[in-house]
Amino acid sequence: MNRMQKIAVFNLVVLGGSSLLTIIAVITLYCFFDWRIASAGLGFMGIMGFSGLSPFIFKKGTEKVTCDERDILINRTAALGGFVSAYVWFCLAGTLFIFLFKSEVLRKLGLPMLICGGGLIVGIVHSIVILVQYGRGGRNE
Amino acid sequence: MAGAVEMSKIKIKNKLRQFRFENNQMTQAELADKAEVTRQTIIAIEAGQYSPSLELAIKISKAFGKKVDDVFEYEE
Repeated sequence: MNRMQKIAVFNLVVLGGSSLLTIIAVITLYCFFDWRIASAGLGFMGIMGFSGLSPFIFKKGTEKVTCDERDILINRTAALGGFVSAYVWFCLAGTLFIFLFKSEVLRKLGLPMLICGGGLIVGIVHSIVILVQYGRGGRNE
Repeated sequence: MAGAVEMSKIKIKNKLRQFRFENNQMTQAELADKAEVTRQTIIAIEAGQYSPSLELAIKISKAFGKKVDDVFEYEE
């Protein structure tokens, strides 16, 4: 597993874990209290910030070549996949939010949800595409 | 698992493994150092999961002291 794969796994765990925690917290709080208190569960999204530490946690190795043409190509394809997914998210969510939420909620949370969701999708899709393209490490890797 | 980079039906075959063994059982790491790529890339090329660029194909061929045609073969 190279550095890019390790970063992708770390980001996937952090982003996926924190979004899952946020969803559970918001739904649980909403069941017992009102939306104002339930929105406190969104604080768990702060954990996502740890994904920014991944380049510092997984430092460059001492190998002669740490990144070659295949790595660049994989990273480029992953970035493209991430941004295409975010574009689809912006188009769909931007339209659906109008029908799904009341104007009060939309005014307060519409834009943050759109932007946070877009960022989250870029991060998750980017990581998944990297891992899929590298494939499973063989015995000799 | 084949990804976007690793094309589903790569028609370019190679004799990397054969030439490595013919060259004093050169390791994948040694070949990677000579071609200035990572060992993962050599593994992917050898397994036919990744087609190298022309530049890399030339570097690999030079590492064996062969022509590109000898190492890589396009299957019609």
